[in-house]
Amino acid sequence: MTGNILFSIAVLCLLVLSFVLQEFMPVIDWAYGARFILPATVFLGASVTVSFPFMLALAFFSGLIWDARHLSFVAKGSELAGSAAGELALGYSILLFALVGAAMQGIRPFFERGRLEFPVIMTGLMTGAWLLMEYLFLIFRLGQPEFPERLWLKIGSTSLLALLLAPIVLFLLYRIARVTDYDVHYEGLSQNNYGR
Amino acid sequence: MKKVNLLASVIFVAGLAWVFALDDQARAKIHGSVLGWFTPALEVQSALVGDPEVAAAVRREPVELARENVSLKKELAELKIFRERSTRLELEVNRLSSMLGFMRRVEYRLVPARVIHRTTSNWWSSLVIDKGEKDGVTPDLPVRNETGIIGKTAQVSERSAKVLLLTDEQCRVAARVENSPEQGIVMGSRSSGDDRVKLRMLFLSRDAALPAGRKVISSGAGGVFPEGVVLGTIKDFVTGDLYGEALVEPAVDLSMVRDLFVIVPFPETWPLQGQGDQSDRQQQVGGILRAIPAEAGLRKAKQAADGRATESDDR
Repeated sequence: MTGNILFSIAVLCLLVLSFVLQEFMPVIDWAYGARFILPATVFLGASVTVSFPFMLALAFFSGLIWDARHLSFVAKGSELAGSAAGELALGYSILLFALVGAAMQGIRPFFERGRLEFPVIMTGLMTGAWLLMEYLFLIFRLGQPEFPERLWLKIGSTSLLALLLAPIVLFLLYRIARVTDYDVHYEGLSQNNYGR
Repeated sequence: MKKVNLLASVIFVAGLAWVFALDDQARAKIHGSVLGWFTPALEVQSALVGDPEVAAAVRREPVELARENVSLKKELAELKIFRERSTRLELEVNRLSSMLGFMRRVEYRLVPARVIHRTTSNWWSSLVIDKGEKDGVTPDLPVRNETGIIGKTAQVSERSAKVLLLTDEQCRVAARVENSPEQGIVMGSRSSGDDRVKLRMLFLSRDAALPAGRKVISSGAGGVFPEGVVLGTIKDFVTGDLYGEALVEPAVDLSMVRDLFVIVPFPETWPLQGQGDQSDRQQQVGGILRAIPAEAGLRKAKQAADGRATESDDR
């Protein structure tokens, strides 16, 4: 129980740290404007290690902070005609994070059996899915359904970056789990019995 | 489904509904608070990156810098004289305008600010500046530099503010085309997945056929952006089914912006204590553009007229 609480606090701290470090992440121009999205990767990694209720709590926290930091606030009563059109509502990322987090929860059995490749691949895929859903939300609000080639390249390259980062995040979570004596059922890899 | 999971889902949905139902004031507070929490990190990032202008100056010869310094001092002196003259003329125009009963003009001052961070979200970008509530910056204020309009302020924290760029489709500016009766709305486009900066001027006449190279300037309609500030140059004109549309290249290179000004209006309670106090006001605002409230001007004009009438009656 104590391990559970300590691990939860540590995951929350890691998530907060990822939001701070995100401010230092540059855009990679040659990768079609892609970049490492640390909070999303940390959240997706944590989603396979925590319980469903705590995953929802993390989704709420991550989504709210992400929106508050990255969406622009325009008051509905603004003098600028139609200025609120096309803007996503504060909180939409909570929903997106919860959806991708729930998908990650679905592969917990693989993770518990030590199949690390599934969470890594799923982190990349879910990052891409999250970006695509965000883009669909945006064009739905704008009423401009455009799908240029550059969009797919950007989503693809961002997903690849998440894929590269995922093993590091999962390793960190594993280390934190060991320190806090939290059981993430990671013994599969150490016993070299993949898939059993 | 386990009971605890079901309960967690219900609480989550309730929380989500609560966030979606927040009013403007609460949303503004959340946006501002979160920006405030991240401001120290943004300042550290800005300090680590450093100022490219300073870095470039360090590599230059002292003699060259001294020459430039002399030249800039001379230019500054000229601009001070010009500013004084401009302020005097503006006060005169506003005094006469108010006497004629024209509408009150908005008073404002320029708050110099520096970009401390370029926020790059997934689909759009914005700037974070080092001025916030304590400097009088509030949401929805126009931001410009010496070249033209940059955008407007969005969320504001105590020490920083986020600037929505002109290239964002949320930032719409009422504009007109120079040497033409054409007026329209200039807006950006951020969701195309394309980083190329572009502006569109909408609601032009179908038969406008505006040539490339014409300047697009703010019209002042709407009362947010000041009149007569350059927005960009027309690159192309397209005739649509209902109206014409021009593709506009922004006047300001938004990727290179470092120093800028937030245009902050004076509060309604700005004191006006008669003609003799104008020099004091000039000093107070540092010679920055402003105008006399029309109501006060009219009141003074009426008082003057009444005074004259009383004098003639006495005679």
